[in-house]
Amino acid sequence: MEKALSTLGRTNENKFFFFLATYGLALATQGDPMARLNDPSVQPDFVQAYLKGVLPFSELDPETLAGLAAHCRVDFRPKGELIMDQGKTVLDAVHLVQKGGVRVFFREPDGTTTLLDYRGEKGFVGVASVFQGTPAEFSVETVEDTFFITIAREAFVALVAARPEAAGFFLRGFSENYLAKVFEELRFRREAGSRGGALYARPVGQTVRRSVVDTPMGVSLRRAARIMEEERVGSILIRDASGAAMGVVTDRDLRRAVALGVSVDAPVETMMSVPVESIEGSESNFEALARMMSRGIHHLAVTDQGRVSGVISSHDILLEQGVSPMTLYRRILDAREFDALYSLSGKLPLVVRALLDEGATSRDLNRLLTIMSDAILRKVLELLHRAYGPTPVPYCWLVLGGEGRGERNLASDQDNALIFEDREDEIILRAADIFFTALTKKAVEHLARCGLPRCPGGLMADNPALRLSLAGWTGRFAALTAEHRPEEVARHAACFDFRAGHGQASLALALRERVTALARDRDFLARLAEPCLEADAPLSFFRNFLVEQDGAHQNALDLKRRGIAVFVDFARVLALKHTVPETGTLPRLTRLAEMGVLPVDLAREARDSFAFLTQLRLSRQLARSEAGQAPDHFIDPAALTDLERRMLKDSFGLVRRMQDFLKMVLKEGPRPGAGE
Amino acid sequence: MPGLISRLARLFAGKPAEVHALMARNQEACAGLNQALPLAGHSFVVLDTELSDMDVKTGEILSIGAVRIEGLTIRPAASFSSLVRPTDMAATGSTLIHRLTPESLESAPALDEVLAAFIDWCGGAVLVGHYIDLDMGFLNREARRLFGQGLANPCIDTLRMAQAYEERRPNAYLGAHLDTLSYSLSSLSLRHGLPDFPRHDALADALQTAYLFLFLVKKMRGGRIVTLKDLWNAQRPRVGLG
Repeated sequence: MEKALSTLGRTNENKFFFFLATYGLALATQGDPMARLNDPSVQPDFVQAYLKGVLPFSELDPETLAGLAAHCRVDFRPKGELIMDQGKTVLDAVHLVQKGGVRVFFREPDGTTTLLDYRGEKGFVGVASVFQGTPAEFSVETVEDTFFITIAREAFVALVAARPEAAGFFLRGFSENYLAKVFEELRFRREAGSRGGALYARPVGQTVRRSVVDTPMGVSLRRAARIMEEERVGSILIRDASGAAMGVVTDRDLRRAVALGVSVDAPVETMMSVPVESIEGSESNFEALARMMSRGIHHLAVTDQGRVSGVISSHDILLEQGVSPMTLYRRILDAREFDALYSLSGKLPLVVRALLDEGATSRDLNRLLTIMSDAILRKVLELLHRAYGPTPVPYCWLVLGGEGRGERNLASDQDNALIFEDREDEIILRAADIFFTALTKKAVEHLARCGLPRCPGGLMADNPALRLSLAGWTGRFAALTAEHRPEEVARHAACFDFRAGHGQASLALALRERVTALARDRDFLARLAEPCLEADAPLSFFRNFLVEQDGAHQNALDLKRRGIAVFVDFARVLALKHTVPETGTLPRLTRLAEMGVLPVDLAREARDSFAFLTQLRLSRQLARSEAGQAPDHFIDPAALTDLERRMLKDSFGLVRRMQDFLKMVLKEGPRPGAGE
Repeated sequence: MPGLISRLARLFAGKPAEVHALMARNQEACAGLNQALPLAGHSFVVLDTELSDMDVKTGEILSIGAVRIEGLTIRPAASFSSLVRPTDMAATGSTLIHRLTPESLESAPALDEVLAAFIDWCGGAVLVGHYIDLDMGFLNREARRLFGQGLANPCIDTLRMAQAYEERRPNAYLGAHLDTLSYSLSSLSLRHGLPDFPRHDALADALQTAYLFLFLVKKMRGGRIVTLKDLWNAQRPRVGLG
């Protein structure tokens, strides 16, 4: 027997033929002139190189990675082999798919199986079983010939024990660190033009360069102006006798003083703005800009634990920035004709890009887009009033849907409505109808030319059905909450996210109060929840495809319908149920968690997922818009990075948990003792 | 039978003048091989050499790369790789082919050193290679020249395994003529969808061969290859086909 074996490698028949067959192709392909010096001692360890491309190992330093790679092996399992048998197998190594794929399924007590997941390259198998040392809770079977990189249990457990970030990755669905990393990845996807300073995320305290220039109250305007001139600043802080900041005087106030003929000897406090709008130094530059924009001011006092430590102007922030949202905002406010407004609206993607490059997250960007579109709306109505005169009846322009939630994106269309004060007088009502018909028709047209296309569903103020008095709207919502056709409820769900866009905000508030009371109806909420409960999140990714519940593949994902909308619906139903007045999805989730009606973990994960999905959508829309294509809600799974894919997968997983929670909550009915 | 082998080994060890200590260790290590043991219980060394010239009479070994398989899993951390300084630098004709520059070869250790280390590293493992006859021709020639005798390790050829595997499942390649199918390592890897090692040095090719070996061992005969003996039987070309 030994003899037979020992001659195994020694036969030389057909040697030349084999030689050609074996090496012929290799000879033909080895002419690469760019090849580096081929020293086997510097051959990069392929296992290490492979791990480097897999989360969370990609975060490890080379030394730790090399140590881990030393404990790896390569295993091969042919197609159709059971790697893990539910309730039986205890794996002694974590398996990472190098090539091939597996299917994860659950065997029900009745013998049927439920498909849980497909995992392709870079997918993990057996983490839980290895961690706990207990038999697998489900089964895993290869669906292709599959090569695994296996990591021995001891090495894996030791790594996770030593590296909290890796532990977090495996133990929690979401880790904020990775969320931050995804955002970073999205931001730097477009390498060119990015200066990478994350300026907008930087604390405003770091942008303030000078110490505060101040003066006690009582000095003359002339004296104050001279100090400002000497210090070359555009604002001066006025302190009272105790040294506390009382107010601020800016260049603009001095101009006003001259225009009004105020004596230069008058005390400085006659022209100061009070109170001092301030911002804590630890807040972001973005927050400072947003605050200035929403208050229509250009200076903020920067405080350090409550004490004023400096003054920052929009100019200070913009100087460091280049592409300026503040400038765009100001020019929108200064626009005197519609043409200017149209072209300014077209610049929005540029500003979004600049902010994205500088470190703004989707929450900031949605807010910015919302502030901008509110400004555009105000401007449109203002210009129209200039042509049509004042309204016969006080009204409020309502923004609904995404705009109402403060979640505008680049592919948003118009969702708006109009509410006016209740009046008895027929004549006034008819005048109002004529006025609003003309106003809304024009306003919708102009908004469309400002980059907000008409709503295909007709949810717009030029639709007479959406132009009602307070009483009319109350009746409308009452009918809607009693509506039994689910498609009607679904079609009008966006109406429940209304918010005052322009005009008499008290009308919107009054309506909100009434809607809040109406929408708590248990049966209505059940109908409203239907789209969210019926949404089928894709199961997983396999290679570059999405895997649907039935195992079918799809290569385009509607981020809005399959992801974002589910979160929006979820937050809306719960917010209405618990009379949360906020309309934004993130504020709603935060509030629900604070009230103790939504588990903190679920709320946090939902917020993270939602922020990720909207950020992903915005960055894709931006890329399309920059390529001259119309922004939409679709993404190609093949274009996702490993990290994004994982985040998406986690988001899909979360959808099912949210649905389960919602189902449970809706069964409970109104909470006892929570009556009106 | 292992008893007989060890007695034989002791017999050889009793003649130190005739057997180099290195080769005595090699024989001793290979003596205990039991073909009836499951494959998972065996140690395999998958190897590849780079040669200055394919002619076993004139060519020289320029590098050796190898990786170990234990428990039927590849152990990438257990690998062997070294360049070899040729005795005749001027005659290293395949310099271009292997992208080995004279500088890197000149600073490499000489073959006696590398080969001795390699033989010890292999121990009693079963050697695996793609068309291993060629590699063994050179390794045995040099082992005989330097240490007085060839390696005692049994060898397995992945090329013959691949042929046997594909001949037994002609349906998979219906319409393709078996004799025109390339059995080069890269063609086979591509054909069977194995992970790809784009670089062609000895270690990368040894790793690529190791993947092919694992694949074939588990795919041949519908996965019914359990022992070394099964494997040996399976890699023999079928009589009447060819």
